[in-house]
Amino acid sequence: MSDHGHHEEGHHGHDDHGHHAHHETFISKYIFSQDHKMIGKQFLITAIIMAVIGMGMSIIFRLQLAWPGEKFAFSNFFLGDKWAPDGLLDPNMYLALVTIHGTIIVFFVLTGGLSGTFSNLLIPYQLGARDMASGLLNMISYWLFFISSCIMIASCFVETGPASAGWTIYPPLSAIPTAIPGSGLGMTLWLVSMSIFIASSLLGSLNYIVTVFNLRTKGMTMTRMPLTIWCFLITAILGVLSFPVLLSCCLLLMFDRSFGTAFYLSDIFFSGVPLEATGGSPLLFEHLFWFLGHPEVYIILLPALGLISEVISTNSRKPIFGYRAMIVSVLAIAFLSFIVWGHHMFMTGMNPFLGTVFTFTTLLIAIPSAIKVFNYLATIWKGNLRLSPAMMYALGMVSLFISGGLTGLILGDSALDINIHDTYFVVGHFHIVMGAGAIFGMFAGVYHWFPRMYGRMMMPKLGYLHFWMTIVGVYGVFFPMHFLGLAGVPRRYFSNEEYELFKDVQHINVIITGFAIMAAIGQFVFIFNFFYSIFKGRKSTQNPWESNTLEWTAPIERIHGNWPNAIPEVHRWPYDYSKPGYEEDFVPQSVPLKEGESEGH
Amino acid sequence: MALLIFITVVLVVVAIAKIMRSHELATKLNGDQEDFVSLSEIKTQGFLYVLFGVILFTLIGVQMYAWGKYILPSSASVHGDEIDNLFDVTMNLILVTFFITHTVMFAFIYKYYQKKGQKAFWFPHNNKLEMAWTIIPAIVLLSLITYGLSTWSDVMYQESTKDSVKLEVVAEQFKWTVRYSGKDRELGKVNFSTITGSNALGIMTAASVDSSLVDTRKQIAGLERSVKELDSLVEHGWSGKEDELSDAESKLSAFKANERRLLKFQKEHAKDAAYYRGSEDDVIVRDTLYLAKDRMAEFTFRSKDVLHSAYFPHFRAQMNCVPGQKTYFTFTPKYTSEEMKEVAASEGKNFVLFELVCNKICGASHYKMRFPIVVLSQKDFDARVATYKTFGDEFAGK
Ligand code: HEM
Ligand SMILES: [Cu+2]
Ligand SMILES: [Cu+2]
Repeated sequence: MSDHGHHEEGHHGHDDHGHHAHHETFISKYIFSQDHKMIGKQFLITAIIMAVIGMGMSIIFRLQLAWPGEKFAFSNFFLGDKWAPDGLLDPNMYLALVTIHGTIIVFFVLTGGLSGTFSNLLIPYQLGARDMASGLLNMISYWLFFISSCIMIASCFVETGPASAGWTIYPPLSAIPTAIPGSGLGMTLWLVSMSIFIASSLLGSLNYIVTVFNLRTKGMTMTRMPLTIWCFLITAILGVLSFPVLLSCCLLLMFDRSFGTAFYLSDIFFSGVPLEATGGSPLLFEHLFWFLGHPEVYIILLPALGLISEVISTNSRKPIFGYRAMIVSVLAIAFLSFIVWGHHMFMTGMNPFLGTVFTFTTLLIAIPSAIKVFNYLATIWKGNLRLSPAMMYALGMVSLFISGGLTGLILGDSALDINIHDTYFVVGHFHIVMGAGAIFGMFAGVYHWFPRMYGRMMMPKLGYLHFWMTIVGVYGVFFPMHFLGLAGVPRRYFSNEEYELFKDVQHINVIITGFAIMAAIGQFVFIFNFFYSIFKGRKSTQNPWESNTLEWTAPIERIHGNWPNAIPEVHRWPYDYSKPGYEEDFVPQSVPLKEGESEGH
Repeated sequence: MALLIFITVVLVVVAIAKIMRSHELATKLNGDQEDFVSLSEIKTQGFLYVLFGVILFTLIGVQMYAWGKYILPSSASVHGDEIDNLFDVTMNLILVTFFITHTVMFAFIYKYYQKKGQKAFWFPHNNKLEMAWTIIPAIVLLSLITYGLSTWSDVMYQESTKDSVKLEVVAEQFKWTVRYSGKDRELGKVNFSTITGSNALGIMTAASVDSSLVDTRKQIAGLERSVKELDSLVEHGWSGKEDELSDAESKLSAFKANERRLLKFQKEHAKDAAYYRGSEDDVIVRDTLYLAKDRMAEFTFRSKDVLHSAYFPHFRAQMNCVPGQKTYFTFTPKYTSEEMKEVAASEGKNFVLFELVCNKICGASHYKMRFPIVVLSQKDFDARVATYKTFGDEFAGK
């Protein structure tokens, strides 16, 4: 296929000496690797393992929600006789599963896994760099991630169970060790794990930022960067600005738990004792948590949007519509995401005037979000859509982003949030827009860049099967939840059985669980496809998707330094697809402009 | 059993994979070398996407038809009507946007999936279009914001009426208690330091402060004894008592702090009858939340231990209960419980009783933390509340 570009000898003098012949041992190549590609794969595989665990947990609690009081050998098999005697789930364990499920998916899969995989893989490749700015920090970032994953999993095996105060771990529930069994050792481990995770994330983000600003190849100006890189960059900046706040939030909680301070505690009478700690406020925790928490949802979403921007443009054989508008909207979203956190707190007793302010800023976010959606639709208009599995997922994500973003308009309106805050409506909203949305972006990325990672292709037929099982599952699981929410069903309930009020809607829970099981089975199709294709997949060509970005000018073999000779130089933006005046429907960034050709975008 | 299912699933997946793989090898032999996804495959998927769209739309319609009746009946509070209107307006807007954007997307997928000889149109940007879809959403959203915020301020800043009911809802793991202000329409002061077995809400009267002090000193004496005992056990090398000891020590220190607070109250307010005003005639109700139709209920919320949230789904009302802080919400019930049955029935909806449910994760029995609500006519309400003893009488054992 294409060998535009990489045969061209670039101007020497940029960074042509980065490629050394290393003597690599198994350990330095696969374990303590400092190579961005290997680290990306390490993140990906760790994330897949974490995702399977998180998904398994969700099946256990979905079984309970659909058939409360039934006994499930499945639950007993995984949880043992202590937490699921005879297969009957324990209410404390229910909350623990919900908590760890949320934590794993939000932080370990969609933050660490998603950014870790694709920022590492693509930033050096797409910018024309030999590696990340600091390979060592990058390696440390992965290993901290790995350690924090292990601690989080280990916390599930302590006697009193893992943290169970919800993924948002609001104190005092999380601060008083006896308030719920999971607030004992399990909570301590959660906090330790998350602190290490934050360190990992910060090291990673700093590295991404430095790399993007310093290691772009000749000609790669900021406005010639693929949107993927823009999104990774802005995500990293969001992370650097907000994760430290979560760290301080966790540290203060540790102090309250262990050293008798009272940042979050006041006037508490618990099991017969008026606690000594007074003068703090749980609202302080909520503010600190959501100051990270809301940017966090965009830390999750933006990389996924970046990936699909690239996938949609390449597979539409058409430039992304409104490249600059896309950048500006991502910047606007990132900026606004720092001043909307209060929309999680409308009903906390915060001054209603603040509710007014946060409603205003929150609904403003919908404007750049809408621009992005319209631009995606304009991109596929009159395209030549190659519906590869990656493209299927990318389009699926656009659908989910629309569906979930729209319900955000209801939640963001403080007056409407009064009655649906903390109900299943919220659960439906964020699973569609963030959970499934970002997972779809991640899948799009995996199917699209798999040949770049392993030099082989994944099987498209299985990819389609996986896609259909997943999207049907996602809509089947999360759409009905909106109806539950509007019927007033609160989230984080072990069972609704006792309520006359919720008797009628119980069958909806059964339907949801059915779809959840189907979607979960569908993921095994992916896992099989993934691991099978690593070893046995069809051999890829150098540029299998006929793409413009630089990663496809590097040889199929993943070598140290990425390009055997000079690093390619960049002469144009990455979206010259179907450009008039060219025979082929793509013009890689490394191809110089023709005489009289304008860059025109 | 679980294992068996698991193995079956894995086998099925492997089998499907094998079949596909051999199919792929076959296509490869047919000379379809270059394309990693074939045009015929793309055609199928384009078709499937549209089929999916049709099914999605249909099922959404079916859900709205079949499950619409489970959505809460129309608001049982006055302000709730405003919220319901806002909700309907927003929801309609959302549905329209959802259907239009999705239709456009499915149509484009169907129309432009890759075909032989089809060429994409070079269309990198268009300022007019981009302007249009920045400005139109901006206008729509600004109108929504304006409408939403005027509703919000109507709901959150309700002027108190002369005959309003002032009451407090106190949350603790895993139950609710209600306190009415009594005749003086003023809720007496509370403090967690004065909580004892006979004063679960920590209401402050001169008598309750005194009795809490007695209670606290009793606790201190007991704890001092056990600390001494445990201390000597530990000193003599008993293992496994350290935790108990440190537990007792921290309790002791907590009760000593409590003693100091109570002494301070006594010192500052012993002769200050005005300070304790309002407490004596408060009325505590432990089994049901009674409200009066058309009489504004001004709620104060409080928690004794962890966060809870008082959620009144039928009344479109919710407020968190926060330890160390009071929170507020006000609403006016529109129908008595009896009338609500008819209202719901006329909408084809099921209604059994009003309920207050906990809506903030608070522990293992969070899902059982509920409280029945009964709305009575004003006359019945007054009569009903009058059957309860005042706190002053209750505390004095009268
Ligand atoms: C138009 C855009 C959006 C608006 C206006 C919006 C609004 C809101 C609001 C107000 C809440 C709080 C609801 C409540 O607790 O009662 C919420 C919850 C949430 N949203 Fe969004 N949202 C939007 C888009 C997103 C996106 C893009 C993501 C993720 C990528 C996201 C993720 C979440 C999550 C995770 C929660 C739940 C947190 C929790 O309580 O556990 N939202 N959203
Ligand atoms: Cu948010
Ligand atoms: Cu509660």
